[in-house]
Formats: sequence, C-alpha cells, structure tokens
Amino acid sequence: MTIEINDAIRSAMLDQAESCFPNESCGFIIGSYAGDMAKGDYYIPCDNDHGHNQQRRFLIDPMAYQLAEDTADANGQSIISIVHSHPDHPDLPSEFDRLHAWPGISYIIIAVFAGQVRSYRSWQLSDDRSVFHQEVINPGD
Amino acid sequence: MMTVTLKIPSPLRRFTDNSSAVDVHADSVATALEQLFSLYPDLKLQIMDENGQLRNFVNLFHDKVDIRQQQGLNTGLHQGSELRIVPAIAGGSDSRNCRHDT
Repeated sequence: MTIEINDAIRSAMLDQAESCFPNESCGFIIGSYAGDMAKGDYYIPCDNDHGHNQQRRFLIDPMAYQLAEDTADANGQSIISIVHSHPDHPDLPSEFDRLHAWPGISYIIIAVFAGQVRSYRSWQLSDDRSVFHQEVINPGD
Repeated sequence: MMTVTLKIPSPLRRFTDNSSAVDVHADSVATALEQLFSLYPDLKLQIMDENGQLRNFVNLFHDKVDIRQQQGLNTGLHQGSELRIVPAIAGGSDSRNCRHDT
C-alpha cells in the first residue's frame, strides 16, 4: 500500500506534533482508496484524551472517531490513516502500538526530538497482527 | 430472533467485502458477534482475544451506549438494535519496539 498526502496535510500533522511536544499528538487523515493507493484529502487533529502520561501515550475519544467516520462515510470517503507522534523517540511502531492497531489502515508515526520534527513514516499491521510493514509515502496535490 | 444491524468501522471493512453495515439475527451481543464471525471468519481475530473476550481496544456500542455500561456480551438486543464496533484509538512510544520491516 502507498499513501499519498498533500502539503496541507503534511503541514497540519507536523505542526501539531511540534506544538504538542513534549506530549503526543494524534489525528486522522480522511481520504479515499484506489487500488493499492490511499489518497489523503484532509487532516483532522484530535485531542489526546489519555488521562495521564501523555508524553508516552495517546488516546482518541471513541465519539471523535465515530464523528470522523460518519462524516467520511457521508462524503464517500474513509479514515485512511491514524497519525500520532513519538516525542523523543524514533518513528518506529512500539509494542504498545501493535497491541492497539488494526490491519487495513495506515499508521503514521512522527518522531519529534527537542520540539522539532525529525522524521515520519507510515506503517500497516499485517493481517495476523504480528508485524508492521512500512509503506511508501508519496507527495500529493 | 431479532434483526439487528452491526456497523463496521473503516479498517475492518476489508474483511466484510467493504460492507459498512451487516444485518444478523440475534438476541444478545454475543450471538450477534457469533453470526457476524460465521459470515466473516477473519474478523474474529481482530475483535476477540484468545480468551474469547473483546480485545481491550475494541468498544461495542449498543444503541449508542457502551456495552461495558450494560451487560457486556450478555446485553440483550431488540428488533432494530444497532451495534457499532468502534476502535479505541490508542498507542504511544515505548522503549520496546515491535517487529517491523522497512
């Protein structure tokens, strides 16, 4: 799978990751699928609702998820990616990420060190839930 | 048995032939899930753990109320009930990375 994200999405998710530092940021990319390509249309930043330890954990309110999904469905779109940051950690999926992930959707992880985005990558969990595979991120228009 | 509707979240629609909603005949949450898994067996691994319980990041809402605030998997259903599967979107950095390939 390849995911395509435009400049507006990239700026929105990276700016949020830096502004939330040292806490984890999180949000959704809404878009559509065409074959093996997921194309992002816009980014929805979300609040990190984790009750404690937001520097190492994030949680999105299930109601926020339902609203995003209902809006996407109504417009013939999908939630194509769940984005979160790793403050002072690399853009690699953690075991905690794996335990909370589903296959069939992209997970973009942004590494933020000392308040500056260093890198980001996109991942998908295998159907047997055992391993994350990195996917290609293409620039969109 | 009542006809109830299960709403499928986006990530799991690849296991339901892209259906966003599936009708089943059931009188409890547990029997509704059994019906769903009989139609789409690959869904079970994503929703239930090895002990037959909902994975801890999976929420089920019956008519917009979390079943954990009702009777869990034993929650009774009525004609026209809506059961919505909602992932608890969570994660975070850790000293322990999981298996991955680049």
